Formats: sequence, C-alpha cells, structure tokens
Amino acid sequence: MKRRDLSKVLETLEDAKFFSPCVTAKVCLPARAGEYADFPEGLSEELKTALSERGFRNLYSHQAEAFQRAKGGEDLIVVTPTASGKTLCYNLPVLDAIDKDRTSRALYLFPTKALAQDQLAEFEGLVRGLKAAVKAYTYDGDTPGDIRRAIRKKAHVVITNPDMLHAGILPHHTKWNEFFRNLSFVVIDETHTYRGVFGSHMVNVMRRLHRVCRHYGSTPQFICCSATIANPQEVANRLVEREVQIIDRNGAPRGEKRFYFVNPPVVQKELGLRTSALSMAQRIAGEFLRSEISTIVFTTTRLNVEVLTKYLKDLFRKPGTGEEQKIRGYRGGYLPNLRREIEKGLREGKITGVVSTNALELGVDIGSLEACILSGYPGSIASTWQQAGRAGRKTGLSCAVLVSRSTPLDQFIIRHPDYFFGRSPENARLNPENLTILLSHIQCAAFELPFQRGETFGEAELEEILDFLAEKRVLRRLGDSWYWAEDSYPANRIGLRSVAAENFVVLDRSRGSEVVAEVDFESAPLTIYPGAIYMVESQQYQVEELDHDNRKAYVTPVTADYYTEAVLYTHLKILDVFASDPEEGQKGGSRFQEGEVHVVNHVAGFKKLKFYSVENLGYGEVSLPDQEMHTSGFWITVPPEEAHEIGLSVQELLEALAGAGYAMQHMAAFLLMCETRDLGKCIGDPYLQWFFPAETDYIRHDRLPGGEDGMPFHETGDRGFRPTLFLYDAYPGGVGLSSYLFSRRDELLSGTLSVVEGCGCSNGCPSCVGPPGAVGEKAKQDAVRLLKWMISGRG
Amino acid sequence: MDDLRERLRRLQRAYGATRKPGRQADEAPEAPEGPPASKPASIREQLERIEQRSSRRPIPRAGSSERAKPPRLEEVLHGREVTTPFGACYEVKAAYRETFRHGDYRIGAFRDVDMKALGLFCGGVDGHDARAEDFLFMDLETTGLSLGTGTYVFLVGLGYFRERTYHIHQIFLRNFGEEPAFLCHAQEIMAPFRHLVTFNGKSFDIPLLEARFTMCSQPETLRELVSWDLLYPARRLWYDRLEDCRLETIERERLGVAREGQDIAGDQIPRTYFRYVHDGDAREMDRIVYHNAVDVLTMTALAIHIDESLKEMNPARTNLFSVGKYYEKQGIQGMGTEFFEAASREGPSHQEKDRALFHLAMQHRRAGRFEDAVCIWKGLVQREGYGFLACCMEIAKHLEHRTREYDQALDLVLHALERVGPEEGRVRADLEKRLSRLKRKKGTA
Repeated sequence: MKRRDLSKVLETLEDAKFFSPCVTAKVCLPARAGEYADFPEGLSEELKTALSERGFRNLYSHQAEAFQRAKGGEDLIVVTPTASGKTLCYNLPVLDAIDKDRTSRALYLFPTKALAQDQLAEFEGLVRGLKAAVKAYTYDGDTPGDIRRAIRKKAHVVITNPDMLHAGILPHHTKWNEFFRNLSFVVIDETHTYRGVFGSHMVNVMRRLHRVCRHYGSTPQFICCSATIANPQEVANRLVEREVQIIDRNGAPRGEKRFYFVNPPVVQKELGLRTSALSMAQRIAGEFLRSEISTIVFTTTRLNVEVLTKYLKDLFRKPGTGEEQKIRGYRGGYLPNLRREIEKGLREGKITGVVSTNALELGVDIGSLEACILSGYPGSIASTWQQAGRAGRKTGLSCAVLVSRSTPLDQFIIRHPDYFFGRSPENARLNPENLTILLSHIQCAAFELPFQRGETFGEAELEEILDFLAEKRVLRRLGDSWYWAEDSYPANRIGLRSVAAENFVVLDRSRGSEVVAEVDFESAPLTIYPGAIYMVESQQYQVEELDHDNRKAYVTPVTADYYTEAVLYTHLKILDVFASDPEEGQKGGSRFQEGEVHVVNHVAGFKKLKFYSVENLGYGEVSLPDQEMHTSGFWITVPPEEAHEIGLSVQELLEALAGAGYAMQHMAAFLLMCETRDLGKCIGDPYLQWFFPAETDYIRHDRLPGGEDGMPFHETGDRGFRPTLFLYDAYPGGVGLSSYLFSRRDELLSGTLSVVEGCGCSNGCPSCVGPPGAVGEKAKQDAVRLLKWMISGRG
Repeated sequence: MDDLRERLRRLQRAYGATRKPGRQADEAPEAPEGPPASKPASIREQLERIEQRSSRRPIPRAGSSERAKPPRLEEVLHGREVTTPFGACYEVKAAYRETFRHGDYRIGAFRDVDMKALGLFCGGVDGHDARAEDFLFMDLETTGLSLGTGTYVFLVGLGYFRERTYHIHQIFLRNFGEEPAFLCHAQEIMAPFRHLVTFNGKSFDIPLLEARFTMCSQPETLRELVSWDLLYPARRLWYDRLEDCRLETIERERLGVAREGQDIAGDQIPRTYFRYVHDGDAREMDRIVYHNAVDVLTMTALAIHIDESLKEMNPARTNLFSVGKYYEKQGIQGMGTEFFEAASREGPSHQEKDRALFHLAMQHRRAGRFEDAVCIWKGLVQREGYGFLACCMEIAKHLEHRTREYDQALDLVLHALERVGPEEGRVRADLEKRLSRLKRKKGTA
C-alpha cells in the first residue's frame, strides 16, 4: 500500500479499462462551507471547558440551534447527515439540565444494543472532564441483575432500546419511580428506523411512557434524530404525538463528493450474464486500498461480507507485512468486543478497509472515510444516501460508487440514474392505530396503570376497547376505572419485532468451546447447518454439529477453498379461511379470501462454491427443522379458464399476476401505512405445492449463474391449476394487516390499477409492476387488463 | 430468468394436459360466514375477530347451573370492615393461645429461640436484643407470580405475639378500588414492629408489596424493617435432605403439619380469586384465607425448627457442612468449627466427611492450631481424598515456613506435581515456583 491522493486515484480509475466503460452516471456534489456558532449563552462554563478539552472551539450552527430551542422547551427532531455531530444536539441540553439540577434524568432510546453501547462510550468521553460525575449506563437484556438496582437509583442517563422499555422497564415502573419522577428528557435516535409495524409498536410504547410519566408528574421533553427521509417531522410527530419542531439546516462543512454508478460488463451475451457485483466491487476497492484510501464496502448479505473480506485480504496478503490486517469485515453476529475493536481501528485509522452489511449504516462511530462502495443497491433511496454518507470528510474529496447486481431492480436503478438522483428519499410510514397492535399495548398499559375514564390512548375508541376487554375478563371495570385482572404478563406476549427468539452461539471446539460468534434465529438454518463453512473475518470454520434445542453450533477451524450456501424454499399452506368473496362454490371471476396461513422456510441442502470461480463443487444434505410461521394472509385466486376469456394464457396470467402483485404489495403497504417488508408476498398454488420463485431467488441466480433450482412440482390433478397471489403479515400470529386488506379490497384493487396505469414508464419500473426482467415484457399491459377484469367482475 | 420461463412453460404444459374448463370443485376448506363484502367491520366486530385468533385461555365463568346465586364474601369469611382515612377495607382476625400446637410445634416456643444465633444464620441479621413481640410474620396472596405493576396483592396475612397470644390479621382486597385503604391498614399494623419474617420475601413479597404502595403513592416502612427471609437458611440446612425447599414440603416433612381438606393448592389461587373479582363468587375465598393463615403459622414454626436444627446438629437430617461453610463465608470466626467437626464425624457420605475435614483444617490453621490442621491434611493426602493438591500445598507451606523441613517439603511438592492435571495450569505454576524456591533454600541451608 502506498498513499496517493484520492483525486489522483479517481483520475486513474476513470481512465481504467475495467471501470470507465461501465460508468452509467457520475454526479459531483460540490463542497459546502460550514456554518459555525459560538458556544451558546446559557451553556455552563464547565461544559464549555469540557468541550474545549475535546477540541471544540465552537459548534455547528445546528448544534447551537438545537441547544437553544431545547432550552426554550421545544420538542425537536434533528435531521442532518451522518457524521454531522448529531449527538451533541441532545447531549448538550441533557448535560446542561443535569448541571442545573442534579436530580434531573434522561432516557436515551436506540434501536439496537450495539448503538446503545456506542453512545455510552461517546457520552462518557464527553463527561470525563466534568467535576461533578454524570453517570450513564446501558440497561438492556445484557445488564447483570445485581447492578440493575444501582442503575435505577444512580444513573442520570439510562441508555436502552424500545424492547427493553416495553417488556423490562414500563411494567416495573414502580422500581423506577424516582427516575420517572425526575425524567426531563427522552432522546429517540435513529427515528427513521421506527417505521412500518415496528413504528406502530413504538408509538404505542411511547403512549405508555407518557402515561407512566404523567402518573409520576413529569413531562419530559423529546429530542429525536433522524437520517434523511422524506417526512422526518411527520414521523416524529406521530411517534411523540406532539408538535415536534424540525432542525434540518446542517451547519457541518462538507467536502466535494463524487458519486459513480457502475454497471459491471456483460460477459456472456446470450445469457445476459454480467460480471458479479462482488468481483467488480473487489477490483475497485483494491484500487482504493492500494493507495491507502480509507474505504468502506457495503454488501447486501452477511455471506458476501465474509467472501469479499477474504478476497480483499488475499489481495494484500504479503508475508511479513501484516497489510491484510488493515482490512476487516464487520456484520451483525460478531462478538461485541470484536466489533468495538474494529470500530476503534477505523476511527484511529489503523484499519484502512472494512467490508460491512448495513450494520454500519446506522450511527456507529467509525470516523469519516474517503471512499464508499455499495456492492448492490441497498433497496431504498434513503439507505443508499445513508450508506454513501459513510464516506465524506469535512474538507477534501470523497467518493461513493454504486455497483449494480444483475437483479432487475439493480439494473433499473443503474440504467436510470435520474430516477435515483431526481427523487426524494422514501416516506417512512407507520400506522399507530392498527387495532391488533393497539389492543396488545392497551393491555400492557392497563397492566402498568389502571385506566381512568376520560383518558385517551391515541385516537382509539378507548372506552369501547376497555369495555370489550372487561367483557373478556382481561380487565375489571369498577365505576370509572379499568383494572388489569389476569394472571399474566402481557408485555411478554408481544414482541416489537418479527423475530424475538434468542440467538445461536457458535462455539469453537478446538479452543475449549470458546464462543466465536452469534447467529440470529432466523439466519441460523441458512448459515450454521452441519457441513457449512462459517466465516468470521475470513477465518473459516466448519460446522460439525448444530444443537438446535440448545441454540449452539459447534465448529472447528478449517482451510477450505470453497464456501457454502444454503438452498432455501418457501412454501405456503392455507390453514383456515375466515372470509371469502365470493363464497366458495359461487362463480364470479377472481376470489378474494382471508384467513390463517402457514409459511414454511425449508433448507433443502447446500452448495459448495469455489472461491473466485464460484464453480459448484457439489451439494450437501441438510436435515433441519423447518422455520414455520402461522400468520394471517389475504389472497386472490384467478381461475385460468376465466382469465383465458380475456385473452391471457396461463403464462401471461402468471406474469400479469406477478406484475400486479408487485404493485399491489406497494399499494397495500401504502394503505396500511406500513413498510413493504412488513408484508410477505408469494404467488403460486398451495394445493399443488407450486410457487413462483421468491425475490431472493433472483439474487441467488445472480450470484449463481446456471444454479439448480428444483422447485417441487407435481401434476395438477383433477382440481386444475389455481394461481393465487398471497400477501401475508410477516409477523408470527399476524398483526391485522391482511384482514384489513380484505376489508378494503375494492380500494386496494382500484388503487393498484391507478398506480400501474398512471405510471409513465413503458414496460414496467420499480414504481409500478416492477423493473423489466423481474416480470415479462407484457406484464404491465397484462396486469392492467387483469386488474380491470377483476374490478369489473365485482360490479 | 430463463429458468423461470422454463418452469412457466413446464407448468403450462402440465396445466394444458389436465385442464377441464368450467370445473368449479375446489378442495379449499369450508369458509365460514364472512362479513358482507364491502361494509367495513365495526370496531366491536374487529375486536372479536382479533380476540378469536389469540390463544388466550379465558378465566372460566362460574357455571350458572352450579348454584343460582353465589355467596357473598361476608357469608363466607367471618371478618369485619375496618375504617381508614382512605375508606373501608375488610379484615379477618384470629387469635391463638401460645400453647396452640401447629404440627409438632407449640407456637409459643418461638419465645425460646436464640434470636442472636438465628439472626446470624438468616444472613447476619442483628437479633441479639429482639423479643418475640418485635417480630411480624408476613405472607401474601397475589394475582400472579410475575413481579410487575399489574400483579395485585389481595391478601396480606400478618402474625405477631401480644400478651401470651398469637394474633393473625388477614386483610382481604374486596375490589381493586379498595387498595389504598387495604394498604393503609396493612401499614397501620406493620408500623410498631422492628423485624419482618417472610419466606422468599426478599425477592417476592417485599418488592411486590412495595410496588403496590408506590402505585398508590402511599408511605410505607417495609424497607425499614429488619428482614428475616427464612427461605435461604432453610435451603442451607436441607437443600439435599428434602425433595425441595418449598414451604409446604418443609412443613409436611419436618414440622408435622397436615393441611386439612379446607386448603387450596397455591397455583389455583389467582384464578379462583379472579372468579370472585369478575363474578362476585366468594366460594373458596375461605380456603384461600385458610391457606394463608397456615402459611403464617408455618413460618413461625419454621423459625423455631431452624433454631432447633442448629442446636441439634443432626447430620442425618441437616446438612451441617453447608452450615459450616455459610459461617465461614460470612467470616464469623469459630462458629463453623463445630459444624465441620460434627459433619466430618457423622456425615452421610465419605465425600461430605472429607470436605468437612478439609474446611475444619482451614479453621484450625486460621486459629493457629497448626498441629491439628497438619494432622487432617496428612490424612487427606494419604487417602488421596478431597482437596488433595491443596492439602499437599498446605503441608508444604507448613514444612517450609514453620518447621523448615525442606527435604520433606520438596518430596511433597514433587508428589503433588505428578498428580496435577493438564487443565490445572495455575496450580502447576504455583507448585513449580514453590519447588524452585525450596531447592534454593535447601542449597543455602
């Protein structure tokens, strides 16, 4: 590695044969000078000194503005990009309040434990210089029982996550009574992550927090921070249910940034095969790292993090130099100590290159890097900007490179840069009035404090719901009060996220079963099946045994020239039909139904893939329990013989259904005010066990040209083929999304039709039926025809 | 992509082959009556549907056929209404002569308990000047086992000695609205006492009751009382002598208490109480009150029995080794010695005897009785018994520092080194250090 200037490196790169023909767009974002403000009036001398000692001579304008407006009693949402000193926007008002009144308390909420840890370190650094100790602690599932009491009594600042607040703090608020009595600030960082179903839960947890605070006579002020999305203020207003004021004038200076869109070259014309995004990203990263340009590479999967980390290390592996140590991987599942070490290495410049999943997209402090490579489109405009923002310095040049995969969505984005650059980041949607979620949280709230007549809880018809629960003998009504009257702990019945089951640990047998990593429950069947090669920062292990019941995987270190990838199938079964329109047996075009479905993720086996060549070296058998989920679903069945009458062949019908389904999923999320990821989608015929490949399959095909597929396929029998489009709640047990869709099916249909018809594209795009390639060429027009027919058939 | 097309084509072929136009038969399960197609469901209907899909186990309603009119509380419990500044609450009182026998124990025998010794054994509580009248025995019945603000205390049972009589007050929560008065009265009774006896009160009864006081913003003195939690001493004495250390097991096995048919199983209590809450059906409330009163009495008898067990020192019934270890850990000098002695003489197994001996030797050493200690260590080394390596080390120390017999010490260290397992790296390092020092000393001697 030999240090060169980024501008020189980019010059070389722009001339390079492997790079320049592939660039589909180059956008220069000009430098901007910073706006500064003196330490604001009212900031204590001690804090000023502490800031000076940490190298601050003044503040950015948005930090000073936040301090003054918070002091004026406003609730705030601060929206500024990564690395703009957002944390000072809340730390200063909080520290100032504690300085003025030592009994004052603050609650910090972060979406993940890792972010909470990070914030703790930052906070402790800031208060180290203060005379009177200000104590901050993280309080989460990892906090040992014996120090919890001390934290409740002593902590000025408690740093936790919504899940812990929901199940561990609010139901025990009496133990926290001093804390709540003196609570003056609530900080919600990464506000943009609270969207969709998770956001709906969060709003309700906040309502419960408000109630408990009222009980203890406190009215804390809220300071929220968000990444750039289209509607940050709206999200904050909804979360806090107050008028929250926005601060979005960023005072941090920004150096020039160049953003490249790169489409890897076609290597085989007939099949339209392109060089993989991963190897392109590797090559570009190699150029940067060779010149000691600090670089972060985002990939879309954990496996890709490991593979790319190995490739990059291989590139710089020279005996005795230790240069490969400057390149590290980073992802969820690494042990906390390892993550802290990597973050520190990045901040201090000891690590030049890091390959990461979106785990580094959020506010973990890693300093600012010079170059960012996105291997694959992250899926949303907001995420793309957020990841690209990881490279960017106050002064001087930085760059971001988006490398597309062969997936239809990636190909669309890379070929239509205007679509990306011309559009504002997505809206975050959340629906706090989802009745299923609301009902759960009203129970939690009643457990915490009895309800009194006249109280409100969002916009709900509270009294009707309370009386309903009283009738079901969950509550007991006495006069104007409703009391919790069940032997249960309702918070334990409701998880705020789709997967709550505990993690698997990966144990190294060669080192006395030392823990080397953790794997979340959902990805366990995909990563730690017996025979799998499991990688942690390019150290390879082979899984010898998976103890599913005890959540343990035993591994030994190996050196293999291949990695493994699980082959996953998703099936769906209808368990029960709650409602049908038209009734079963009645003729009448397409049939709309809702009910209970059973979604199964089944790992059928795994492939051994050779590093670099991605040559398939063979298959392995896997016998693991399926991951199953009972949930609610909404589905539309179209009899092909009827579709035939409007001129659609079976193949055209399926493609029209796929196109309409793509648009419908987005329309449904819009109607439900949730995220598309909150809804599962699947097209097929459950009676025949035949399913259209899920979107993940495209990704697999992209990485594995010519890969086997082997979807189970049987003869259709006497019943005939009934293609069905399913949308289901992506949450165990369901959260009421599908049943709402059923009740609003007319609106869903007409909305979907107007989206598709009103889209200006010719052959489909990510805004309507999906990008060309994901659906057939005629999918757009056929989807319109199908939707119109569905609507007309309903009179 | 091509793969997908291929599969679509395959599907079409299969479909074409079996296609029977106009066929309507469907294997889908029978659909229940759905709501009308386009009219959105009312909140009520939506709630019903959500509830139907949840897996809640409803609290059964009292069967109307069983009895036309369930009895009222006052018909079942023979208590009285008490007035407090927060309104009325309901209390059941009972008094027992001190000669009253609860199982094998005369309740008044509590006066003879060695309070100082019992206090030491209950986590180091100072009981030296405590009189029987200073103690309050408390047991709660609750609406569940989870701590948290939605679990209510609905029955507080309090027992105490006054004027040669043992009194039990039981305050019963007739409805949730009465809680402030209920707590206020409990606090009135508690106020004069200095010591609070419970069974598992540290982690359950006390925090739960405290939470109730906080919920109702009422002052309380719970934390000011000296807490005697009998669960921990009971576990120390009997964890491996009884099948478990639940209060009911101990009273059956050790206190000679047989509950009458009037009792109710502990795990039935929340649901039974909820039936009263929802339907006003007071049947079985008498059983809960009986259950609670027996618990309070048993706790008193248990205190007597613990004291007696400490005095009796019967290794067949009591784990004396564990008692000795407790005193050792608490740093109470000398107290453990006699328990280790008794355990080493009459312990139920060789292993327990050897462990007791080992600890006894340590007590001797600490007290300066080196000869006694060495004698035990030697015996253990010879038998290759419990703490072999540690004993070798101790003897070697003794030989090196006190009697200065370096040759013998060297032999012993070498002997020990032969026996160190591969996983005991630290012990090996210690031994090797000692070995080289001994060699040096021997050379200069």
